[in-house]
Amino acid sequence: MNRTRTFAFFLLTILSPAAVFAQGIPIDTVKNFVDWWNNTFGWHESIATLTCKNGMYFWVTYVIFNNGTATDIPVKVTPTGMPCECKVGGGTNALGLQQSSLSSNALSILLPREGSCFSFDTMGIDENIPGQSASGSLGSWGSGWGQPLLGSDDSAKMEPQAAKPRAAPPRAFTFTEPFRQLPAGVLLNTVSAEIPWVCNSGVNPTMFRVDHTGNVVSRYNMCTAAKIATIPVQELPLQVRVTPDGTQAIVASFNNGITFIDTATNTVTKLLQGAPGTSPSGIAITPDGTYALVTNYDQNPNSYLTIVDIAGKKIDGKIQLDTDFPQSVFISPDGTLAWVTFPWNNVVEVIDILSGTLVQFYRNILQPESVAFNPTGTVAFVSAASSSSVAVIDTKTYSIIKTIPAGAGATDLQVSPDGNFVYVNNSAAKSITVINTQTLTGTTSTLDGIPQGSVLVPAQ
Amino acid sequence: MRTLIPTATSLFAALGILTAAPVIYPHQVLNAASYHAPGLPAGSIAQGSIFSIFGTGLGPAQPAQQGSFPLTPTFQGVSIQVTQKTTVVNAIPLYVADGQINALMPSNTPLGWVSLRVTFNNVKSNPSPVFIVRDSPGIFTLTGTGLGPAAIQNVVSATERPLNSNQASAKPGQVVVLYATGLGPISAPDINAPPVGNVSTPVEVWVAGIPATIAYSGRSPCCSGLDEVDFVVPSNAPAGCWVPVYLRTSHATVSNFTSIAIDPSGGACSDPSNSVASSIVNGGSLGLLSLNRIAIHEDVGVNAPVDIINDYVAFTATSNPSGPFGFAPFLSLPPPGACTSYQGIGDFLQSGSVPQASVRSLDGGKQLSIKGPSSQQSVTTVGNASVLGSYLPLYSIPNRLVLAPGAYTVQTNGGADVASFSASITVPGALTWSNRDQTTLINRAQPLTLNWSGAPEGQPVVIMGVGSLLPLNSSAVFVCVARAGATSFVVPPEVLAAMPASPPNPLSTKNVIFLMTSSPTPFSAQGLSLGLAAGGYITGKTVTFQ
Repeated sequence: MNRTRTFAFFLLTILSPAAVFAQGIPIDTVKNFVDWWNNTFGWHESIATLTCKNGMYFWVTYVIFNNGTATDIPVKVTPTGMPCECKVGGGTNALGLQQSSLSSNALSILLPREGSCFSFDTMGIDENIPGQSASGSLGSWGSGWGQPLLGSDDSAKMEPQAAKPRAAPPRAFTFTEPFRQLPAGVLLNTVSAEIPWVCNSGVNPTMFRVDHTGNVVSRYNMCTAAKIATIPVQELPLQVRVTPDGTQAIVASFNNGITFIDTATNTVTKLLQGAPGTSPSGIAITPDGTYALVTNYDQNPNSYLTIVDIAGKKIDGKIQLDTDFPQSVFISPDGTLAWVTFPWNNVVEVIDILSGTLVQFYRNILQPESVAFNPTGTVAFVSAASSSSVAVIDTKTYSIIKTIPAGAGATDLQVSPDGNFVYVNNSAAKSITVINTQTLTGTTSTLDGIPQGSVLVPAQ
Repeated sequence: MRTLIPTATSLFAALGILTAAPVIYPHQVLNAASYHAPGLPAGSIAQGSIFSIFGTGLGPAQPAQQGSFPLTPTFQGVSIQVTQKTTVVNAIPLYVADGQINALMPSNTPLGWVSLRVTFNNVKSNPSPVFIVRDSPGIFTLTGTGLGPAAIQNVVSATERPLNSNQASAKPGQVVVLYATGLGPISAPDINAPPVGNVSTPVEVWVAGIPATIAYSGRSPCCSGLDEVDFVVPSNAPAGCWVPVYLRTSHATVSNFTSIAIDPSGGACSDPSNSVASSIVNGGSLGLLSLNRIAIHEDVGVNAPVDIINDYVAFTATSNPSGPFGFAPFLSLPPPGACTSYQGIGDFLQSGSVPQASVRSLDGGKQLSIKGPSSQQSVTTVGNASVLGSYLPLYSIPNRLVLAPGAYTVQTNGGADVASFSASITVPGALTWSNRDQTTLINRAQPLTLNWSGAPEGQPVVIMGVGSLLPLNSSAVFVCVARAGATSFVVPPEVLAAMPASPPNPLSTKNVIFLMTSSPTPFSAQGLSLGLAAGGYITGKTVTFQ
């Protein structure tokens, strides 16, 4: 008997069951550990990287950026080298707080940007790359507290003022290596409680952050949280991105500067400047690493995207925009479209990069801050800070599938590498929302601190 | 043969959604024959080829087709502008409808990235980026999906050229005419009937992996952009209903993998190596039940190698229509010793699917009871399959696997179409993939040799490679069937060439090669003309396609 026929079963098993692979387990809350950390280090930035149970270190996926001064990330190094101590076994920690319940699905840590909150002049941005010479990038934006009060209904109604509004740092993140969704990943029928944190020293992830008023970009080792470099850049840096090959970081500075940093040496290799008054704000790099797009945060006719030839380290042209004050730009996974946010005008525009043509626009998303995409680019998520929500957009039809409630000041967005979850920082509400992308429902957990900025950090 | 074009694409016309302005959907400017997604190896548009645009509001509600030469750049109010910097050419609409346009990309279109826009009744669509190459072949298929039976005529005489089908096979040694597009540009104006003559592009044809002798490779004189390749079916080509046929141009770009029916009689084909063939050729209701353990060794893009194991149960019941061009992906397997390939939209390892002509799903129930050597479990299936248990040896996650090798009984509750039934299944042990750890970086230009041992006697091993290109939302898969008793298989480079190269960012791609064996047994159920149950152990490994 020939058995060739039966292989069809296997093929169908592997390739067909979408729902099976879509099962994931959300990281439902990290509140308690974050709160504990905030209570301990509440006067400055907070970072939550570990929790403990039964004498083991467990994975915690969030870092909270508390209001305070722009100091180094606080680190309490334990004898194990981990940036916190295992406080207690069992279900509560030393402060009597319930332990976080975490899942296995997201092999990542969310980390915040560093910088000052509540300062109209201080903005920050983080950019993470794995290792000194490894590729990959994580980018984030800074505070946004110079904006009209997040979560205020009034802020949504504000019109552009005659005076040029300050470039508010958007909150966007990209990541490349070394995250990976494991094909046919494990599916747990029952949620396993916590996942232990393992610092991936083999990857040795690092992060760049922008110090807006200090005019520097700092680089941190994400395992030890130690600052490993401080790099002076053009005045008023706002956003930083790392090229897909990990060799360069590029910084947009509001005071007319686009700075190239060699990530192998942490030194500036090039400064591009435009005409006087040019005000770079947001930056995005195409997936192939060929070009960077930089928003020029100004009124028309000076509202445009600058096209930067990365290999040549030169400005290669611009794409004119028809709305004032473009803040941030996000490139679709296929590299064809630029989604530009104009939070000052409650506008999002989608630009065909090749032709510079406006493809689609939205004028009903209140204070759009960030855009993130699922891995296949079929869905876009747009955070709306003033309406405390996240718009889910079908990128085929550009229709808004659903508006998911989040919290006041919904800003930073992160999509898990498997595309099953979207993490939302709600700055004004002091909360985070985890959106299940299969059910398009969100779960919000309140925090003591103010979450601002997040990046994904590899583990395993 | 131009009538093939709307025939092949009519299934997609229904996808259109009426809107006021023309809209080109993302990644939906495709080779009109293969529908290969952009980014896949043959996903670019060739100069002088026929391509399809999918969207909405692209053309008139009533489909129309240009019927005479010279062809005009505007037809039924539809025109197509192709722009590269200051250069603008007009593609030629051949078939226009609301949801689809088939058009000819002029031979003088500039190479590289262009921006394509449709204008319908003076309203412009969104721009769509398209990558233009000199040649990128696609074979027209009679399923209209880019997969399955190719548009092939068996040359019996100068005047007798029946379409190759499961009722009219080609004989080994017979000349056949294959219809394709994308072989390359011509120097004559595309708006006129094309001249007869070989294109300058080097063209190769394989039948079941055997090179075929080509007599002609150039435009079909009937139609602009339509190529024909006349070749001799290799005398040693295996018989079968779905013998793989594919093209390669310029020794580089491989077409979609299609099939040809071959039989020494020249009559109806037979496929003794595939027991589900009768259900596909003759139609009927087919039930497939399986218990599978899938173990994947992950060592690409992870910090440390890890083995992930999942246990699944799968049950599908379908009603397959009969017809001369019957085909079902993954069921219409190639003959032993050969490979085929499928491409499609989506991430095949998560939510994508291979395009398939219409089959009707049957309700066979969702409740399954699985009784094994040491466990009993009831599950409600989701889709075609459900997970039974998993194990990831990290983070102290408990082992919840349930399908240890052994004998199992599966009982279904039945549904509206298929009655309750019980089937016995034996889950085999794992085979040993002896060069697994050396199979990591795969050079697609070189043969890939896979070695194993421990396959149950008399059972062939099936090799499957999956590659998903996430940013472009597309995937490709190759499937090879080793002969029973074989302990190795060489995947030829022209098969590997159909897989997308892995981008540097491992987040952007998923590539896995699987080896699998099975132990099938038939079962009976009211409502099914054929039921098969099998247990399998599937061994996988992550790889990088270079």
